[in-house]
Amino acid sequence: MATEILKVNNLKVQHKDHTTSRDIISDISFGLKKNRCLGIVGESGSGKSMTCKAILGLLNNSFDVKGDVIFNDIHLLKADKRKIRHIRGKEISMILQNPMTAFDPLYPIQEQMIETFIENLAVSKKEALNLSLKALEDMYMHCPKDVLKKYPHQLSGGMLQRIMIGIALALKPSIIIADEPTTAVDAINVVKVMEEFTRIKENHNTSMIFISHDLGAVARIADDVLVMKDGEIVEQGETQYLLRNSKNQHTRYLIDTRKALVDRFHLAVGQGEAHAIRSKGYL
Amino acid sequence: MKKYIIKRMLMALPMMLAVSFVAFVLINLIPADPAEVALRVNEIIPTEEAIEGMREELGLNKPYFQRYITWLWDVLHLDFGNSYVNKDRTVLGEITRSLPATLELATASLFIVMVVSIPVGVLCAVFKDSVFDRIVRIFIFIGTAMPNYWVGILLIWLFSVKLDLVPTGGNREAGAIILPAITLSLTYISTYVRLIRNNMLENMTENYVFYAKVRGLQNRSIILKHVLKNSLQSSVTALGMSIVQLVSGTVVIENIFSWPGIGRLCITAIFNRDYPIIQAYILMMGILFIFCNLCVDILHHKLDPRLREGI
Amino acid sequence: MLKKLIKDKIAVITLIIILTTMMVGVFAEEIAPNDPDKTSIISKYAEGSQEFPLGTDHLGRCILSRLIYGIRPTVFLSLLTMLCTIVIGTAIGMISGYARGLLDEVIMRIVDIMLSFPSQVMILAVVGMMGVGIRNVIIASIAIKWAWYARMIRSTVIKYNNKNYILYAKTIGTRKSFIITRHMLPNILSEIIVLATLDTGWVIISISTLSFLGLGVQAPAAEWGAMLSEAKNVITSHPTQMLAPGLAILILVSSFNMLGDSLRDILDPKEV
Repeated sequence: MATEILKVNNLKVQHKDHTTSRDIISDISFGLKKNRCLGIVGESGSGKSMTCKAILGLLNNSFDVKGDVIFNDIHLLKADKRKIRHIRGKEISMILQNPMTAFDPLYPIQEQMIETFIENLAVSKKEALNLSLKALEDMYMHCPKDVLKKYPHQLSGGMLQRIMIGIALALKPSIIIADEPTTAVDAINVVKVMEEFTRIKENHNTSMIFISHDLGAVARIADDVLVMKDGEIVEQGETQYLLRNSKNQHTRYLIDTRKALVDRFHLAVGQGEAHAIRSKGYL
Repeated sequence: MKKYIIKRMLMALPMMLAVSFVAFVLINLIPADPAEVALRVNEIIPTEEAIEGMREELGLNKPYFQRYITWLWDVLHLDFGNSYVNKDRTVLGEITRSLPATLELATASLFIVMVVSIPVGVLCAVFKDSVFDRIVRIFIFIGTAMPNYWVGILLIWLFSVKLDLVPTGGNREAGAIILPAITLSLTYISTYVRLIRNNMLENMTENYVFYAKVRGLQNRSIILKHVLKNSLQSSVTALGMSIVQLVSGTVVIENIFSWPGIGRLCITAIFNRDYPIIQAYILMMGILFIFCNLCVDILHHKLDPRLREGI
Repeated sequence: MLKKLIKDKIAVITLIIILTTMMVGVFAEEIAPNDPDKTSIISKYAEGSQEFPLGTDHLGRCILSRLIYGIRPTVFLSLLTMLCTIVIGTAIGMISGYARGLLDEVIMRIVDIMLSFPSQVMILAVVGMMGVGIRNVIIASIAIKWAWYARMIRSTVIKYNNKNYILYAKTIGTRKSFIITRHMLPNILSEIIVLATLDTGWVIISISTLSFLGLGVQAPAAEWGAMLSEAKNVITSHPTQMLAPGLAILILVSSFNMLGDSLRDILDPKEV
C-alpha cells in the first residue's frame, strides 16, 4: 500500500452566525495516497468544496475548523500562516471551478502568471516569463505568446481553465486539487479539460484530489472515490469496485441518476453518435 | 481610444446646450421683472420710462428664443454681460478674479481627501472590526451628522482663537488655507473612507482574491496590487464627481472663512439679486459637472481593460 | 415588526430623543423659560443661571428658549419638506411605473438629470432666482429630493407589478386604485420609511446650513443654523455661544441617522 501524502482526521467545519452555529462538515476522515487520484463526489452542497478549502486554511473567520490535516508531517490546521502560504501554491495547487472570475480582470494573464511563479519558485522575472510561456505550450495552446498578453475577459472559460491547470502544473506541486473543474466550461472544452487531467495523471508524479458532482468524470479519472452527502462521507473505496458493487443507497442513487441521464442522452442524439462519444470515454 | 474620446465629447455637446438653456430659462422664471430689479439694486426709482429704458438696454423686449440665441452667442465669446450692482464690472471679470482662490481651496481639499481616505479606507477594510476600524467608523458617523459650518467655526475657535496658530480668515496670510481646506475635506473624507472600505470588503470576497490566495501570493500583494486597484477602479466615478461637489461645497466654507472665491461671490450675488452673476455661476457649475463627467468616463475607459477594447 | 423595534435599543433611544424633541417643539410656549425674542441689554452674555439655564446671547435673549423655539423651523420644516418630497416623489414614481412607455421615459430622463447634478448648486440656483427666504429653501430642497423617491417607487412598482398576487388581483378585475392603495403602498412603505428617516437628517443639515448663510430663516426668528451664524460673529469674545445649537443639530441628526440604520436592519432582514 502506497504511503499517504495527505491525511485528514476528524475534520469538522462549523459555520458561526451571530447566534447559531451550523455544521457544514461533520467529522470526516480520509487519506490521499501518493501518486493516486482521489475523487470526491456528491451533490452540490454536500461539502466537497468546503473540505478542500478547509484543508488549505482558506475559510474565513466565520467558519470554525476542527480536526487534523497532516501533509508530509506538517499539521496544516495548526501551522502558522506563513508556512501554510508556502505550502499553498508550491506544494498543494488548486484548480477552481469558476475560471471566468478567478483572474483579476485588471491585469493581463502574463502578469498574474509571473507573480505566481516569482512568489512560489523564487525565480527572476525573465525566468518567470519563460516558465509562463512553457506552461501554456505544455497545454498545447495556440499562439501562447498572444494568450499571455490577453486580459481574462478576452479568453474563454475553457482557455482560462487550461491556463489554471498550466499554472498548477508549472508549480510542480505534490498535490493538485481540482474543484469541479468542468462545471463552468462549455461542452467542447470539457473534453479538452478532461484530456488534460488524464494526461496529468499519466505523465506527472502528482497526487490529485478531483472534486465533481459528475460521477462519470470521477469514474474516468479517480483511482479511489469518496462519496459525500450532507457533510458526511457515506462511502469510500476503490472507484471501479464501488461503481459495480456499492450497496450504499446514496451511491446507487448517484449511479442511477447518472445512468438515467445517459440513457436519455442516447434517446436524444441517437445510438450512433452516443456510441462514438462513449468510445472516447466521456459517458 | 481616440475614437471613444471624440465620441464622448460629441455626446457632451447637447448636454452643454441643455445646461445653458436651463441657466437661461431660470433667470427668466424669476417672479420679478429683471429690468426692475436691475434698477432697484442701483437705487433708481423704477418709473415706467426707466423700466422701458432698462428693458431696451438688457435686450428684454425681444422675443424669447432670439434672446437665448443672442445670449448664447455672447456666452460663447465669454461675454456674460455686466453685473447689475457694479455696472462697469463684467461678470467674466468678477468670476476670473475669484475663481483661482476657489480652485486653490478645492485642490487642497481634494488632496487631503485622497491622502487621508485611501489609506484609512484600506486599513479599515484589512483590519475589519478591529479597534482602529471601530474608531474610524465612529468618526465617520459623527462626520456625517455634523454640519460642516459648525465644524468650521469650532476649528476657527480652537486653532485661531485659542491656539492662535493660523489666521481666522482671508487668503492673504500664509497658512490661511489650512483650516478651510480641512473643513471642506472632512465631510468628503467620511464619504470616501466608507466608500473605499466597502468597495475593498466587497472585492475581498471576489473569486479572483480567493484564487490569488490559492496561488500562494502574499496577503500584502493581494491587497495592494489586486484588491486596491479594483476598488479604486470602482471608486473613480465617485472621486471624479466629488470635484464638482467640492467646488459647490466651497460656498459654505468660503463664507465662514472669508475666502474670496466664487462661492462668496455667488452668495453676495444672491443677496444683491445680481442675476447675471448667479446665472454665470450656474452655467459654470453645469459645464464643470459635464466636464468632470467626461473626464471620469474617459479615465474609467483607460483603467478598465474590459471597456478599452471594442470601441 | 413593532416587537423587533422595541427590542432594538438604539432604535428605541433615538426614537425617544426624536419624539421628545418634537413634543418640546410643539409645547414651546409652555416649556420655554423665557420669551425667545425678548432682548435685554443688561443681561448680555449672561452665564447659566436660574433664570437663563444656558445663559443669554449677544442681545440678552435666553439661549435655551431660543433653542426650544428653534425646534419649530428646524425640525418641523424638515419634516414638512420630507412629507412633500415623499408625496410628490411617490406620485410621480407611481405614474411612471404604471404608465411606462414614453411618459416613463421622459420622467426618468428628468430624474437622471436631477440626480446627477450636485444638490448644493441646485439649491443655490433656486434660492438665487426666487429670492432669499425659508419658503424658497424648502421648495428648493423638495425640487432636488423628489427624484430619489420617484426612481425608487418606480422600480418597486415595476417589481411588484409582476408578482403573482398583483397579477391575480388584476385578473379578477380589481380596480387600479384599489390595487395601488391596498397592495402596493404597504409594500413600498417600509422602503420609504427607511429612506425618509435617513434623509430627514440631511434636510435638517441642509436647511440649517442655508439659514446659517442667511438664505433661509431670517433674523430675528430663532433657528439653530441662524443662531450659529450669530454665535460665529462673537467667536473671539464668547466662544461658548456656538456650543448649544451645534450640539442640538448633531444629536438630532445622528438620532435620525441611527434610527434610519436600525429601521433598515429591522425591515430588511436579508441584508444582515
